[in-house]
Amino acid sequence: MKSNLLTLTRVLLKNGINLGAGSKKRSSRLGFTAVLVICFIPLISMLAGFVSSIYDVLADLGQDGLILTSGIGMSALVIFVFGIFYVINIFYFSEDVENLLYLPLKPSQILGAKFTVVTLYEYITSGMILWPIFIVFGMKSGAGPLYYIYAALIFLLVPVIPLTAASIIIMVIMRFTNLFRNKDMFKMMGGILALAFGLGLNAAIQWVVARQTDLNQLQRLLAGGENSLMTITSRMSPVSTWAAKSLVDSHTLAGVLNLLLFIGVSVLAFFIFLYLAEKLYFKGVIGLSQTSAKGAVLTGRQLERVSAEKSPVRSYALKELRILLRTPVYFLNCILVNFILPVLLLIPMLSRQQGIEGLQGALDGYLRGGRVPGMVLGIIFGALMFFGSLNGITSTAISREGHGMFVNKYIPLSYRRQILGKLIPGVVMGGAGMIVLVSIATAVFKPPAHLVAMAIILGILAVLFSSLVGLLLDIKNPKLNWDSEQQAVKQNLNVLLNMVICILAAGAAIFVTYISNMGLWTAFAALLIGFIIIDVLLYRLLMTRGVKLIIQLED
Amino acid sequence: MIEIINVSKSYTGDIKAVDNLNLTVNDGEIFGFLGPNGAGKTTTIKMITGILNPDEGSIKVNGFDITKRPLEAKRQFGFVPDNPNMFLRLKGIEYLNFMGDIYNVPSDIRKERIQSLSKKFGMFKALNNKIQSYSHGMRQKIVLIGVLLHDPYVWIMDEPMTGLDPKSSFILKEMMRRHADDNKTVFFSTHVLEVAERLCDRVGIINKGRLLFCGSLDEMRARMDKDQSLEKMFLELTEDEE
Repeated sequence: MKSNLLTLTRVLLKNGINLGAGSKKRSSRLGFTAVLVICFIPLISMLAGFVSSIYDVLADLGQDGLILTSGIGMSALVIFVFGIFYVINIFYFSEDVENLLYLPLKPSQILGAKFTVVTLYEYITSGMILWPIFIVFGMKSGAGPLYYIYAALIFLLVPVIPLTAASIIIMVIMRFTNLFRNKDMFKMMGGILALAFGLGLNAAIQWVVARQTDLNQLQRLLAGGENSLMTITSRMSPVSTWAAKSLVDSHTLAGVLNLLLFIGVSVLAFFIFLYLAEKLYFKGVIGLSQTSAKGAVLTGRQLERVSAEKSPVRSYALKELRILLRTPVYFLNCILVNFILPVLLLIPMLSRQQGIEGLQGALDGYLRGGRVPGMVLGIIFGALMFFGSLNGITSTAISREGHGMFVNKYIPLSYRRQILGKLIPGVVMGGAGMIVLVSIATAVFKPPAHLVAMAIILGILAVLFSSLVGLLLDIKNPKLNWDSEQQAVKQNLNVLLNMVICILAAGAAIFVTYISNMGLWTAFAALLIGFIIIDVLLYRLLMTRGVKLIIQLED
Repeated sequence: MIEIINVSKSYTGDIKAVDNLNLTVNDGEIFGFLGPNGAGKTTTIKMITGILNPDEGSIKVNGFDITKRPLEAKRQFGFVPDNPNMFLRLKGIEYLNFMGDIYNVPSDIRKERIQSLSKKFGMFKALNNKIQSYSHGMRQKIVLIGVLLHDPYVWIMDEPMTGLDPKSSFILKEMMRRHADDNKTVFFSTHVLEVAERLCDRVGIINKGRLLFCGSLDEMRARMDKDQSLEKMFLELTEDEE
């Protein structure tokens, strides 16, 4: 049994991570990891700074252990929330499930292996929370080497209990209800929920950090006894208290005992999980379907309505849009991102009242002075360009076809018109996102009408630019060889490349309007004419070189 | 009519997937394209339909060169690929209308054909469901209906019978016969030699990219000087090559 479990774990890991297939793949993976790490550095250093300042306060009260309790409790909570999604996706909805069911394996072996895989994934998230806390605490309290050994052990075991809890909940739901029977529906809802969770977490962090400086307030919050945030967290998972105690008393016998207690409970939890997997898994996983066939039979009138003749380009663009809206991964990464990400990125700024007031004050100052510098328009244009480049609709337009690309080659629709059919959804969706963004900004900053009109006109040019560049990039180097839609969008470097080019263009626009000290109307004219020319040139490039590249494309 | 003249194609290195192929499929005939796995059948079909570009030679469909006048050539044929897993997120009816729009099928004709074809293949009740919920055979059928929707002159089908239930398979074979009897062209590849034997007016046997035989079954028997089944002759022909 043991060897089966290990073999399976190894296979699942290799499958999931896709290691070692070609150097190109590896370099793109490295690029992604690098970007991810860079994205998280501010968050981690923020956490470390926060812990460090809070430590001083708590040490005065003789309560420094609370940091560890709440840190471990917090990471357990995060692991639990992530665990719910991981468990559904990896235990039930992953592509390999169907191929595992007919092998002579016990449910506990399949799920034991999958549990290990999920645990490894969870280390990435829990590590980002736990290690800054462990290290800062260790340095501040001057802990010995034993502390770090304990810390490492606890880090390895922390996911077990929350993941067991998440698994049991999901296994029971899958066994006895029809709640998540529809894969696409679940992925869509799950993605939206995860985004909402991320949004909430982001807002919460901003809220905490904004008040971090007020140490008195913090002290009151912590000394508030029964109802304080920290005690609640530790109450929610009593086990984290044992882990924390073993760390605080790592040099005494009590430390060893607490550690053993923690290890014992974790191991017990894992065995309970295996036992329940044996009882619940197979009956829950068998009969899952991608989508349910529940459409009613077409009536004569419906047939009449849907069979109206449309122009081929319109029909092609409509097909693209339908697939974008109905495929969960595409919807979340191409459509929803388009509308949610601007809001997500604006939160830090909007959560600080003085940020808005400062900007508004500057704008009012310019308006009163009668001369708005052109740079304001450069910045607006740059921002719209940047947000327009986030959605990845055109920069994955060819990649999304995958192994079905051949269909485009035998249908009697010229490549120029196909390219147009792929460009339209990107421009329409990007344009809609741009309008939303401009509307929010208008509501917040209340700029004069002519500035809003300029923003919209230039915004259209910016969206066109990013859509054209994205499509050119994806035609030049499409990622067609994929098995799951995830790979077409999330592991596609063209999205990143498109963003980089758009950021550069945005930077150039801001730089030129700044350095030349243009007035508002001059800047408007310059950007308008400049980007009309650039967009037209890009369009012509797409229709000549782009068409040639598609003709040469062979699977 | 399909004319393949001196066509070669290699993927990597010197190994030719298709080697100097010459083949004419006439109007009014059902032509079966046979060969072992990896013989070059699908590569040939992909070149006829414009999915792959030939390295050498030319291909004409009803007189239109597929590389020089691709759009006109593509309007001449309907193509059923070997893998029907496409447009899975679209509903059956949406896929059919997409094909109708691409091939400019007028509304009234389209509506009538969708109804008659989908009823014929037992698909009408499923039209409002996503293709993803279809079984393999149903996916094959919806692709087939999409192709027949625009009533193409030349039918090109890669393993069209795979996955079809007996009734649909029977209907398709009947339709193929009728299409050829209307003096139009049917070209299909298959592994099922019994089907080829009963259905085809002529067959081509390809192995390792080369055409080993092209002609009617009687011609094959005459050439091999034996009165045998197609299966026996096929095995004998392709075995020599090993």
